[in-house]
Amino acid sequence: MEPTTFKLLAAGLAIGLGALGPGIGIGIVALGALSAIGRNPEAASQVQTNMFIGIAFAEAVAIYALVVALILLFVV
Amino acid sequence: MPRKLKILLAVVGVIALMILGNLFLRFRLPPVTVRAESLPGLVIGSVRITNSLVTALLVDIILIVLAILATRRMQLVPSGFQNFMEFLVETLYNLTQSIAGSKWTPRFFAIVATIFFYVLVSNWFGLLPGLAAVGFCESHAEVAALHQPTIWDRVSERTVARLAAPLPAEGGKENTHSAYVYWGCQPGEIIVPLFRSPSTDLSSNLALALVSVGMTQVFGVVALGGRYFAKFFNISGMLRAFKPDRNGQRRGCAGMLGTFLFGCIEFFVSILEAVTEMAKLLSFSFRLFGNIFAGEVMLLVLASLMPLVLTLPFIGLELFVGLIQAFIFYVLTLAFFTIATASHESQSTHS
Repeated sequence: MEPTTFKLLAAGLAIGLGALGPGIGIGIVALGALSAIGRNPEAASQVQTNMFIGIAFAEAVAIYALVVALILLFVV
Repeated sequence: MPRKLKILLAVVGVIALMILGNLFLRFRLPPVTVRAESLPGLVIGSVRITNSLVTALLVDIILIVLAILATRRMQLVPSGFQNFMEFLVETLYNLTQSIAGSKWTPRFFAIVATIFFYVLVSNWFGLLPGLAAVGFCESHAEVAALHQPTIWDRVSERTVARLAAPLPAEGGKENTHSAYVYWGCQPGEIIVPLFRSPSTDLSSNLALALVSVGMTQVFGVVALGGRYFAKFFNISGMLRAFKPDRNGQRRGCAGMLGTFLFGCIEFFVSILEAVTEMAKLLSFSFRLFGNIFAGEVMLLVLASLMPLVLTLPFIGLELFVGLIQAFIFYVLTLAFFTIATASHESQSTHS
């Protein structure tokens, strides 16, 4: 097999496995926020703001994996 | 015309557009560069001007012109454009106040609102259709020569080498799709775009992150003075072991050791806090870069799969992502400011 094969495989694995955890995390954040809004609809705007912050933190991990995948594909 | 016929016509039209696009507008994926490209012939001193810098200046000009247009004829009861801009700024101001409290909002607002609008406009600027086609035709060797040697080159040596290498020979059939011949360019030349969204340049995002994290320290010092840095180097817990305890009595040997160990843990946590401060730089810049750059690459890949129709919903998605990323940069900066200015008195009184 050529080195390119491994490069493509590594990029795919990096983003594929790296997106697993953040996906679960974002799901949990949205679950919490939605049940909070369901219980207390008046607090929706405040809950949403905090939900976006939480999602941003979880998503950052996926973005690290994405950057690694991009570097593998286009730079290395 | 009956409604069913309209729907049928629309579906047939969309399918016809897809097929026509696939037949006549196919193109190969152009080379994607992670670094911002240097523009040929634009050198100040030893610094080459990159296309993302040009675009950043353009975004600044757009924002300034918008602000001037909105405030040119100020009315007490606003209408039209002034009304719209006032609505935007006021909404943002109220949100800032609800997060940061009314004491610090006047000081924070200028910085966080500037970050929000700048990031928003630069995210959306990269989505303008046809932007990537405006640029200079350069041969691969010239493009490679334009890369100025920086610290990045250790990472991207291979990119330069690949750009300088001749393109792989294409089969006869591929050439009819005119693989790498760009519109208006000679064969073998590639386009160096004149514009590139600053959010897709890691250096530009790092600059924004530096402003955000740097101002966090400034506001922390303004609010708490020298005590602010105790958060990053906390040895007060360890020193407490050698002082009399709360009842004014000297500690026994075991008590001294226990308090000292707790102090060690507090010291370690404060070191972690300092590391977190540095990691903010990474997460700020990578988050914005990754989202916007990946979005643009995704649009390119989709357009190379199916030139018409398919990209349209994804441009809508990218508009949303651009808004969300600008909002997240704004909210996180604001949250870090608020945390830095909050007093830590309540934390130091635990047992």
